[in-house]
Amino acid sequence: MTWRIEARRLLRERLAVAALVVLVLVCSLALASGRSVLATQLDGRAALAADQMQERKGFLEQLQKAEADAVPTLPNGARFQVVAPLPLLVDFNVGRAAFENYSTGVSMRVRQDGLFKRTQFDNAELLARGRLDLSTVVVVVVPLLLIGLGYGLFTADRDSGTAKLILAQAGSPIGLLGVRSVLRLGIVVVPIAVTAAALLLAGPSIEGRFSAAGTWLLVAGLGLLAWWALILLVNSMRLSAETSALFLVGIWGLLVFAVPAALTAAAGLAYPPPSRLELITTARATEVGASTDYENDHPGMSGEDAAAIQASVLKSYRISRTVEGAITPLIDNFERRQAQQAAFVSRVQYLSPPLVLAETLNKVAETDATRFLGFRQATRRHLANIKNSLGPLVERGQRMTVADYDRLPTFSWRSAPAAIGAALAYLIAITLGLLAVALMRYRRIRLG
Amino acid sequence: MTTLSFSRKEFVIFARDRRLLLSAIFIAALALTAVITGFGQVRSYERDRLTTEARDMRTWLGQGQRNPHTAAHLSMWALRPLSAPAVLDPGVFPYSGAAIWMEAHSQNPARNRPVEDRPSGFDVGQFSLAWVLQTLLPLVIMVIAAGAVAREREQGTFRLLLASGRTPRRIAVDKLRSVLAITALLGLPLAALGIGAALVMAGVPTAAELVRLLLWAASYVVWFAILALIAVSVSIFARTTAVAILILIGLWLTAVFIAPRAGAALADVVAPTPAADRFWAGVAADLEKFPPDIAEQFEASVLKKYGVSRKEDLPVSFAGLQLEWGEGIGHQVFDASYGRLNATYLRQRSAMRWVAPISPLPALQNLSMALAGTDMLHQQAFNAQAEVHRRVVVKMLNDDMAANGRGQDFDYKAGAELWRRVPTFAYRPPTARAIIANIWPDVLIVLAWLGVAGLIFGAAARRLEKSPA
Repeated sequence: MTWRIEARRLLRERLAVAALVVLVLVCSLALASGRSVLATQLDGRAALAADQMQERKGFLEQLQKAEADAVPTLPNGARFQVVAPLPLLVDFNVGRAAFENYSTGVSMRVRQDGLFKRTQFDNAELLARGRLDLSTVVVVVVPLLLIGLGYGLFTADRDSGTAKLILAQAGSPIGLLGVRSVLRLGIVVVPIAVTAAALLLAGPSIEGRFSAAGTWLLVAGLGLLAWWALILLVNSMRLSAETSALFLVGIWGLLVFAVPAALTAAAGLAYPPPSRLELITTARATEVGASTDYENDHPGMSGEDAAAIQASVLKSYRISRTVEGAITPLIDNFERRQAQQAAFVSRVQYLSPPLVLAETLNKVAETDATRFLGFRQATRRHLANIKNSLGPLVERGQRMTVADYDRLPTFSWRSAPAAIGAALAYLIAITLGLLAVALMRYRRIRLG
Repeated sequence: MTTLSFSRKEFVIFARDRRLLLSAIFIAALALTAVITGFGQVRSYERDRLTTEARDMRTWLGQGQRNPHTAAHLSMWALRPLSAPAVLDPGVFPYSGAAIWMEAHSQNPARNRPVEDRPSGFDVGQFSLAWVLQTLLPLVIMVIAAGAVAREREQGTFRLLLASGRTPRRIAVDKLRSVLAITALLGLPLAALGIGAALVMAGVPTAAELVRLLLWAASYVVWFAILALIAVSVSIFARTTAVAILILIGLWLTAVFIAPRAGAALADVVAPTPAADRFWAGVAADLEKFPPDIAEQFEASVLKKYGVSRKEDLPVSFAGLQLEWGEGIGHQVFDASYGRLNATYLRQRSAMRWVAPISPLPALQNLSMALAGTDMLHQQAFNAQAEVHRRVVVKMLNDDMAANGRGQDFDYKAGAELWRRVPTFAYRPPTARAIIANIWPDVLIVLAWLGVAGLIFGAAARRLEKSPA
């Protein structure tokens, strides 16, 4: 009986209908945006795979013909594309995939400081506006809708004086609020679940994606439950509906916008990134210092003599090693500082449950800062391995063969599974803590 | 009750409401932090840039005897300066590159985007004074304005106001004035603080800089006027303050948070930005389209021009001439490729304006960034000027090799005298005309919204006349 009455009341509330309409629209936008991002990432990887096959085929043909050539095949002609695996849920949560590279070229001619360069073509105006993906909907939009649905869950009845009447029919306030909670949470959970299902079904079938989606939904659900527990707690206080609404909106503004923005700025202040411009000038100064004259940029034009060309390649290789020796500590320092920043954020994020929720969803989706840092580090190691394999050939002036090519290390990397235990425990603790206090207060409510 | 005493009464109510007072103090503290942070970031970046330029110039001049084309590969870097108003609004700067390598054979995109150094993947906007004024302060204003009329009617005090002899329309106008006065009290000091910081950064500002700063402040005056008109209108239409708050928060969510993102998503669907590897694959494909014997044709034309039959008999270095000719081929390809990319950006900007009926904020953001010198126009001006400079520098070096490298080609070496003659890169911001040409649609959108907000307020006032209590 209570269910039917409450359901009918809810459907008659214009605010509830408006919240549902807004959520459906926003979820539709998130669905379109997510599909677009996924398509771009998939198409890009497919094109790179096709290019790499062509490149490999062409180079192998060149190596096979080299026996007859007077000019040896240069090891620095071997080029490879390093491609990161597709983030499991990039369509659910774009995160840093919006601007981080998922591929780069490696070869003997590329230095450590030359990786992931010449790739910044994204429209900065679009990046500055931000993305609307399903994670953003869950972290930013839905809590506000929940506040709209729940600010007057009990306070409105108390303000209007109808609380006693309702309780006389429904019994304990806890039961009544339970019914209302389920109905209101249903309004927000159903569109999110449907959108998630649509993304999942329309996306690629890759290992780990379905289980990641399950984890993502669990984490998202916990985050929303935490907000609802807060709403229930506020309703248990002796506040008017207006004050409840103000208070909840204030908390939302503080925890979703102000605190994360301030913490990110604080991370930058606490662990300021080293100057990237300094990295550039150090590399250049070292390069100039390492060579008096060289023609490494056009070894083919330095002469037609095979020995001259090999000497040129050797010179170029040695200069590159010298420069890398100088800049590797700078790059290491850079990445160390980035890791420190990420660690700082992971410590202070607990000041803002929405930030914990957002970072956890990023980790589950594999679009967080740590994952991309890991990819860049793995790429640098791979470049070093390629050079360690081909360097001896260059030093000995040896002709490169098909066997040498087949022996080259292949890039294989997968990010470690996201460590979200602490974040899950935190969200559960917050939710249960708020619920426990709310329930205690409701048990003590006297409407006299 | 006079208008002045009416406003004073509203201010007293606001000051006594601890919730609103605390919110306003918090926003002010946040804005102050944003200004200090922005000031520090711009100053730190500019110091870094100047140090880098000086150091790089020493490297360039100290490279010793070297073949000019080798020097063209080392080349120089163009670093984008930030003007003082960037303290107010970093705009697209965190998301666009600040450094371009002006090397031979390649028109490179700008790199070193500050956003890559951000530790978190949760993006609610770049923390700055503009962000506070665009995102957070409107929230406070809407909450303040929500009860402007609705609370009076809820508490029954609206009848008392009517009893004082004021018409409902007059009350609505006075309420609007009060909200505007409180908004000015909150917003103007923050804007003044930001402008003060920008002036300190500028040192001795030019007249043009002063005009830009004042226009920047004026655009936010219009923004807050739009917010106040709509917020008071909602307060008139709503039955209760709580409902007014929620409607206004919903409008805030739509206009401030969703609309800019929806516009960006729409722009990406309408005109997707090409992936980097596709861009470079396109460049490579365009290069392949040139006839395979084009190099032979060039050689034949040079020999004919100098009236010789062998390259060795040329009075100049053929390698030098060939390098510069090759650059010319590259220029054609890069002009076409980057032209297509910039056309994509233009289509995206147009698509982003399609959300103008939902929110004036994207247009305001364009104005704010343009006046702070941190919009795409300024970035693209930097990119274009760096490319022009690159071509000048590389040509100078190739021409020197051609003129002086006869018989030596890549064995020819030049020295510091040549390196000193190479001009240094100097960025010139877009002219006022170019800026206006870029933002006039946004000016119209914001002014149209002011008009629409005025009409909505007019309709709300008429509704109040019909059913005042």
